[in-house]
Amino acid sequence: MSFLFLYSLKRFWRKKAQVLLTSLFLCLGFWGWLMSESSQTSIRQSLETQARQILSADVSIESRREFTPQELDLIRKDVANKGQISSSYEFFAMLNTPHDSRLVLVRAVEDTYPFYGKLKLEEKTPTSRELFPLHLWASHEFKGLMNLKLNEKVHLGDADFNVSDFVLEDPSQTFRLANLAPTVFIHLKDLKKTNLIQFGSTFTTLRLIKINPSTDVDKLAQKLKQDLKDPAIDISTYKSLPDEMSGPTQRLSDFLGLSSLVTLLFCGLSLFYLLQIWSLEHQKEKAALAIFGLSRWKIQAIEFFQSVLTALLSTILSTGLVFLSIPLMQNFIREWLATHFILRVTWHEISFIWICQIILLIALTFPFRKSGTALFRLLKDSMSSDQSGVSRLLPLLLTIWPFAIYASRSWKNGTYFFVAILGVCFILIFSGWIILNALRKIPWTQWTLSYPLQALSRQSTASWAFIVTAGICASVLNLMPQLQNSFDSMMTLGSEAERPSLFMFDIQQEQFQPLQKFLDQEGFKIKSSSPLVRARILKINGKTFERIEKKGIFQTREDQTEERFRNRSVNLTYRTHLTGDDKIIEGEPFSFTYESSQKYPFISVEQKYLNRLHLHIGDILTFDVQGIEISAEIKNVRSVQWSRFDPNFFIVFQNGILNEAPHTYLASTYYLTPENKIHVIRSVSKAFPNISIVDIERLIRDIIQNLKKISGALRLMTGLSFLTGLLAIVFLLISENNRRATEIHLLKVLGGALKSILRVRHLEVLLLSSLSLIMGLSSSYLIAYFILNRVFQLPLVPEFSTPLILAAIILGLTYLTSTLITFFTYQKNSFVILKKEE
Amino acid sequence: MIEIRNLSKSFKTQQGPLEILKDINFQIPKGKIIAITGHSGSGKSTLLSLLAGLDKPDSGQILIEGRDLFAIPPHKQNDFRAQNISLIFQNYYLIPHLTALENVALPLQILKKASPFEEAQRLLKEVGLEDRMSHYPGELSGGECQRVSIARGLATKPLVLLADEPTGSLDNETGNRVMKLYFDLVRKHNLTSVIVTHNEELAALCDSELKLSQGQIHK
Repeated sequence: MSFLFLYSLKRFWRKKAQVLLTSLFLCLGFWGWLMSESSQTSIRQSLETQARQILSADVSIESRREFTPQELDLIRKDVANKGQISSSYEFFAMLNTPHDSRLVLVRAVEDTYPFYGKLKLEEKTPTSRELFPLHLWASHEFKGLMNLKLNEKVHLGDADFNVSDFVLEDPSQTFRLANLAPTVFIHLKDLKKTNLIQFGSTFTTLRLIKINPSTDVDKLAQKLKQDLKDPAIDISTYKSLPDEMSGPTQRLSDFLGLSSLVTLLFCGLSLFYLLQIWSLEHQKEKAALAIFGLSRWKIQAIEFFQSVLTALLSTILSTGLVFLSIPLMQNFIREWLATHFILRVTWHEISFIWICQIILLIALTFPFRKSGTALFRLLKDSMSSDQSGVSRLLPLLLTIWPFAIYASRSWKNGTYFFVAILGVCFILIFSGWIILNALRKIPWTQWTLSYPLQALSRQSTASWAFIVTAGICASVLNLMPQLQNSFDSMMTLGSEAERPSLFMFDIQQEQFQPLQKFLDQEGFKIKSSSPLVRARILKINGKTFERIEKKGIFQTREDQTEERFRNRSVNLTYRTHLTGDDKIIEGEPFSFTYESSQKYPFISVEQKYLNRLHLHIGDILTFDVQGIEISAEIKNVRSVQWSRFDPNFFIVFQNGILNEAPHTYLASTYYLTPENKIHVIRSVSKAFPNISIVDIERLIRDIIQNLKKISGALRLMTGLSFLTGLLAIVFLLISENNRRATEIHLLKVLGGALKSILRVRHLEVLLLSSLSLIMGLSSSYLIAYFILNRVFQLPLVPEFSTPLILAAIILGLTYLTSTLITFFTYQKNSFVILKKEE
Repeated sequence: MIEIRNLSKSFKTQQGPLEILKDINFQIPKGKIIAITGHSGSGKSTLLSLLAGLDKPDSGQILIEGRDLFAIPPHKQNDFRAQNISLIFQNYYLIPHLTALENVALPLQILKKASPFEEAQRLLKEVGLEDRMSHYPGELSGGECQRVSIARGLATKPLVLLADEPTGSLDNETGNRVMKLYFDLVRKHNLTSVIVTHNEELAALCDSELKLSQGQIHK
């Protein structure tokens, strides 16, 4: 073993130029990866630090309905002497001030709120927790937004409150990307006086628990989850919160992870071809070692030590680069994402990156399985250059699969990425085979035409390796701009006139007609309205639908999404027809009026909801609708265009089943001018104080602004991927041209003039590049369609300028590299080179 | 006839210039086969490279049928070399993706000669490979590869045929058979040939032997 290690060390030192170049490429690939990992860890650490303050407790139990007396008993029993319990309510309502009306998030809290963190108030000392009866603390932004002053009277529902202070800092506010409304605090004792919590109102009720130091928070949470089985009850602890709260940032982080994976793939491909350039020399060394009696495993051990040392060097370099780039990235996060977490790199991540690099290097220099005869030929035969077949790319591609799953934290997205790459390989190999075989059959008379075509079609493994690699590069290079273009198009929401301006919810049954009449009188119309029935799913096909707990070392995004979707109650509606933008994509359309001959009423389920809960057409869902069990059969699956911001629902019932169930209404208005909007908000909230109104335009504006920030981050990563992709192509071209150097010398010895040899080389590489480009770029549209359709349920909006620029760059690079390499090769003494090769 | 006049060649090394060939003079009459022998590093390959017109001397001339190889304008050098000088290597250097027939026809195609494949067929028959024409180099034995290489060397009907260790990769018996064929063909086509070899037996079969030592020719 010591000989092997010493040999590896000596080799590492002697080949320092090759080692350094390899390390630099690995470093480039893993720099993006480490940055993305570091962002994710830092987000998590930052959230864990803040989690108690965000929850205002150690454990939070929340539900979008009142807890039943039995549930409250269970909570009290479980907590017993392990800690303190505090109650609170959260809901949206309209706050009317002497100057304006506005949607606010009301938090009705007890004296003990918050258990952790402090509300920083403008007037009082930060330690003050007393909220006097009918006093209200308003978020500081009200001062500017509504010109609200201290001690002014405001109306909230049926009660008048005195503004006794302004909240400067609320530790429970997180860096959520789109806040619907600013917050006001009132005392829980005053809640009833507002009369805002009525039947069917949208609210969240909470039980906040502060545990004693000796209590195990996980055990308590587990016991609570066992006792409170209803998925509508959500239990969070300060340990589990980071997974639940950082959704948008994590999704951005996931996409950055995938972009860094693309960069890693390009660096892997570059490295693969860089190693191909040195491959013959390397293979001959290994062949010599094998012939001297070293077993295959010992040769692999040398290879392994070599990989460990090179990866160590690269890890040191990438860590250094990360530390240098952290201040820049920190700045970017602060400026673009307006968040405040501090980027850190942990030893765990550095060690992990080291292991990943070793794995990647082993994949790149995968098994040496030449037989004795092949070894001898390798040492003896000068023309048997080590051909880079497609199969040699396979270990690299297979290594990318687990990396993709890890980077995207999603089995589905990671596997889609991998399948897409394999799909491109298949398309490229298949189409390359057809085209090369067709070209082979053309009887060219000029040797400058026949020779390159013979070379390409007869050395098919090498040709395919080039086509596949260049094709993957072209495909992935074009994929990112296509995805980005489709995302950008999603952000374009059509003309303002088509969008609703206001969203009204919590409209009581008896208020709906008067509201319509009221708006008519004011000269406005309701654009769309839907009845909303609150329910819980009790059973699926007769099996009780309970909360699922998937906790492990590695929880994917799908697990988290499924857990979130299962743990929520559901809003139902009924309709007499589908709305304009709904499309039935699977199953049969049904009559929208229930007939008594039906065994079960029919429901239509939104596509994503169906997939996330693993439902199928024909499944029977049993709902608890205000204590009454109603079963229904899934008859079809709908796609919903959520980006239109019209009220819509995951589950739509046939008309005639839920009509008698207690329900509220949800309505939207047509486009309103800013003045009309203010007028409607003021007049409706005065006439109907319990109806909440959301300024949907403001919400859309916030969403677009945040999407644009994300788009900026995507552009940055796309640019980095683009550069590394081009680098991969340059190395591929250099490797391909170097592979043919011996042939160039031989053609020269046989009388080939530089002009003719250049023509041969140009035709070969331009033909290969063109084939790769045509196939790679076309397949990128297929992949983009596949990913957008499957993962994001978005239509592909193709963009054609990038592929044209890409084609021009790649063909230009192809021409330039082949010209330069052929020219410089031709200038060398061919006899000496050929003699050396012997 | 090949005439070498005052030929010198040196290479730069870290220790300073290294003189490989020092003012060499000799003549090879037309139709003769000469062997150049010498220890490794004596300058045999450098001399062959200069004879092939693939390298330039520091000074001196190589005259082939009276034409100074290095006085030919650069744009015509390649044509001259292709038409008049052929090379045979120890490791054959056949192009792996071309059949035996295509390998032999290639120099004729490069020179735009008429009927390259018919001529290549004739030459392969001459070297006894009529039944191996459609085989790729990987499917041929070492001796067969070297016979294809000889046929390729003869294809352009050169004035000079240069061979670098032509039996170096072959066993004795095969080497002898291949070289017998080589000598027969060179004499039949009345070519002038230079063979660089370590093989004393092969050198003895040539019309004369020149020994290179310390950059000088010893007859």
